[in-house]
Amino acid sequence: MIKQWEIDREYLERKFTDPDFYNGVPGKSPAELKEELISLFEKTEHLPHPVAKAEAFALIVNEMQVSVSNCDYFPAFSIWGKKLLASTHQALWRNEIISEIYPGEDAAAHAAMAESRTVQVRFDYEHSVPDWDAVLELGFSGLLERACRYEKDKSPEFAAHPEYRDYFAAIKIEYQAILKLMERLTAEAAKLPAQPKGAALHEALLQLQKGSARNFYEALLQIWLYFLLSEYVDVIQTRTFGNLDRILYPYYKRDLDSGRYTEAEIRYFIRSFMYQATAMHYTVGHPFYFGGTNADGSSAINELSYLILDEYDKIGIFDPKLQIKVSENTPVDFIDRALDMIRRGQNSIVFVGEPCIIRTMLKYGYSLREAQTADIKGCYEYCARGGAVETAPVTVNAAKVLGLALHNGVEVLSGKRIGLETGEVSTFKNFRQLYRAFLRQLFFMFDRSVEFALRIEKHLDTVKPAPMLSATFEESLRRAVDGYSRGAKYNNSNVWLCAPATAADSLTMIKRYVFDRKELTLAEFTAILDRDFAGDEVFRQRLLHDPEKYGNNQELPDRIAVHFASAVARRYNGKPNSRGGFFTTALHASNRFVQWADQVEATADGRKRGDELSKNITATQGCSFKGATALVASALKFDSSLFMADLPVDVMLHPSEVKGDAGIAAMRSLLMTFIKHYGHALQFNVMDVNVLRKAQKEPEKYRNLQVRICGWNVLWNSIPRREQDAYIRQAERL
Amino acid sequence: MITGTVLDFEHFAIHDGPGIRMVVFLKGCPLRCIWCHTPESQHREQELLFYEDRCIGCGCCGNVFDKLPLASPSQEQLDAVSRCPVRAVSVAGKEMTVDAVAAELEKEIMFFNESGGGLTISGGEPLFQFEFTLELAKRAKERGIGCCIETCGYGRFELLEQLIPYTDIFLFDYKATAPELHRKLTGVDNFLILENLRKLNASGAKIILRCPLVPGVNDQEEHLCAIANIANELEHVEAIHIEPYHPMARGKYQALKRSCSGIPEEFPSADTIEHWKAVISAHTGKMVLIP
Repeated sequence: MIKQWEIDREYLERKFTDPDFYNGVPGKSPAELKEELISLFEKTEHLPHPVAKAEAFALIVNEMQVSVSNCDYFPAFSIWGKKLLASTHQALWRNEIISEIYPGEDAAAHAAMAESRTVQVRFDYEHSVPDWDAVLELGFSGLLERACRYEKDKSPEFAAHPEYRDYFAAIKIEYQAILKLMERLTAEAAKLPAQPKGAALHEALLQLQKGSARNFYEALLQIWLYFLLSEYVDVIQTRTFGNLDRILYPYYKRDLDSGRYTEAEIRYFIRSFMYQATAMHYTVGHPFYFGGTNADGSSAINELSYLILDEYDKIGIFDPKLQIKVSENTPVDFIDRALDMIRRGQNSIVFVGEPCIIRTMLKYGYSLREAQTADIKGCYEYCARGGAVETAPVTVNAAKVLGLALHNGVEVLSGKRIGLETGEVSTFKNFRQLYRAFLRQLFFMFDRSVEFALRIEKHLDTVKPAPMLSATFEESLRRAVDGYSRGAKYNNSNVWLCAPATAADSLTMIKRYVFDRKELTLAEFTAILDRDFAGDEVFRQRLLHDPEKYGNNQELPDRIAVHFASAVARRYNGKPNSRGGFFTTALHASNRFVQWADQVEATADGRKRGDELSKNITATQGCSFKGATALVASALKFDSSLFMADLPVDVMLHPSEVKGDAGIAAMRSLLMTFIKHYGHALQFNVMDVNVLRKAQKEPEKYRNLQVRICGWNVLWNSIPRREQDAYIRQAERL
Repeated sequence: MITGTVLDFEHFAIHDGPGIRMVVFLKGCPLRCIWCHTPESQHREQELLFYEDRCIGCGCCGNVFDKLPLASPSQEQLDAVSRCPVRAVSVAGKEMTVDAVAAELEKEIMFFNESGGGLTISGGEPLFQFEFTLELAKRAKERGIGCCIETCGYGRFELLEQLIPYTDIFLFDYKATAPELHRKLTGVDNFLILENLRKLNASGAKIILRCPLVPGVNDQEEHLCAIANIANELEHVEAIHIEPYHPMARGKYQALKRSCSGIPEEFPSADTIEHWKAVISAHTGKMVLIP
């Protein structure tokens, strides 16, 4: 078995990384397909977008290179990773309407806001989740049949609403193409020499052509095929594989009980399935999640949850990302197993609090059952299962916004005025006046961004209709409206505020040094920032080492962070979007805390231009001086029910802090305190010796790294080089 | 209003009693253990630690740390501490009221409740600031926060006795067995310490023995056996914690401009630590842990 796995794993790696893998495979290469798509676009220009896109989808699916192997339970598509429609139909349709979204001066205003990394407003197709229950229950053929039934029901309205006809036509074209693909794959599988994997694949494909999955393997294959076709052909990201332990449990149980598959075989299916996500090296990760609460109040963690986690651990992978939905009923041993994996360096696991989700969703009018069964998706977000298409069109950078307040609305690096005229810094007589200017700039940036988002989101289904996804939602079929329009039951849009700690720390430092201690004027402080601290390194060091920073359970910086973030949330939560839903707020950075850093001028917390910004609601890197409990306490000061989109915190620990049974118990207690106090999402980072080496080379980037020495922790940077060397030597021996 | 000289707080402490704890380190200790890993806790008075390798030579401090001794710092030095931009110098010891320390505790009470943790008063030696320790332990009890006292055991038993009603567990140091060796290593013999340990046990207080072990210094076979024997003898000793030596405090000695010699520069090997544990475990049925 081990030897077989080595062979199969090597094949899976090649399937996704070898540029020559598809050489000689029948069908058209992605480059050839792209040419054909461009040509098709011209021929189908007169067609409604859903139909034109569906035709393009069918072209790809019908012509693309496919491959099957006796080393693999899953077929291979050369289209993987290409997303051709993004650069053809989607790009062209986007260009057609962009002037409508940003008319006249709006275009330049938006460009200046976006280029300066003050805001991002985007067409977001990266946060939707299909109704996985429907996908598994019905299969491709069943989804098509169901759509046809609804088409019949809706047909009397076609004359008045021709768009309904287009909607169903597109679904039919896509799903018929998928069924043809299934035939092609089946035929390919039939050609394989008679070996177990090929035979199993052939049998499963035959079944999925005509119906739904009957067993564990077919269910996994169904999920994988849906994912690949949606993600890379329809170009609608599938932001979770769902809660696999719940979805797959009936198949698992039935197969074991009937003797259809042994546990070892099921483990192998899971292993092969998950390893594909690892082999893809996908940047943002494909997650799935565990747990939740059953209708009777018991935990949804079952024996399959343990088995999946065990396989994940055994093969030592980092994708798919794992999310664990935690509440008081979550079995302790399951949490402990996950925590143990984390402290051994498995940092791809995140915990999401069910009490937070339930409280927040009830507050926004969801039913209790919807709240209990919410899907976890993307990084840490949640939405109603099987009935939500959420988007994240707006991100505003709090650190840049503070820069606008310090420059009377001018973006300092470009010299362009993109904000409000809130006054020259010399006119601010007290901190309150500066803070008010900051809030005005913040609201202005959000107002403008939300205004743009309202325009953009009217066109989401014009730019990229989503027939494949829409067919999984019964509500969409009932309405005959695309999922990215108003088709889902819930169509909310998230606004993200990033770098709250950088902004809060900067405001705190300004208050202390300018208004409380009067060591320099605000104009002088601003001039220092404009020079990127050139000639003022000593002052910068004072700012960096000043302990009054967010994330240490201190009054002022925490209050500032919570205040402006909550003000944003209160202003935009519940505001109607243009898709029949409403806006919700997140304190989410994604990877912008690094990617945007070069365009963010020096900030008053001592950060130089280019240094990373704070992430999520975590303390600024290097500023968590009081450790994990203080950080979590600071994070819990945010009312998570205001941040329905998400509110994640990252806790960094050293292996020596969490060793032994006491270490696991402490991690669990920290987590459960967070969860029970309605914390949303918590991610641990347990550092290893390699990190220590990096920390020694670049201490300024690791200023909050702690080392457990014996009976206490110290900051890594607080111990001299010689001791660091000794510690590294010790860590090498672990 | 009772005040104490607090050296430091440790948050998210997980090896100084059950659950997640906040450790309050107090200044002042009657012992002078040669391996002491918190030399800045030994004196009751404020002291300065000057980490020369962190100094960027900016001169903001007026270079007062080069000129003057670091113990009992002058007002000039104390004023200069806050001017150091990189915190190359710090003050060990801050006068705090019980109220102020209790306020820090309150901030973390949710973690104590969840984990069964609480407050641990350590040092230095908590008995060295007895009134403060007692008041703080009482305050924790009133708030339903568990309290552990980490003590070297060198003090009047009457003081320990008064702490018993407010203390869940005594983390009691056991450093050397032979009295002369104990004196050589810590500056005092262990007669009073052992007497207090036995009296504490007789009173029914829960005890965990904390045994710092330094390779080649106090890890003799007879000492390891003696640790097990005394744990066997005392029914309320619940567990033995081995505290392996680490060389991490050497920088602190340098920062205090004090010498430290005669102790190893390296961590004991994993094999050595396991050997210690095995020897002790072979002679007792009580739990032997390496926190």
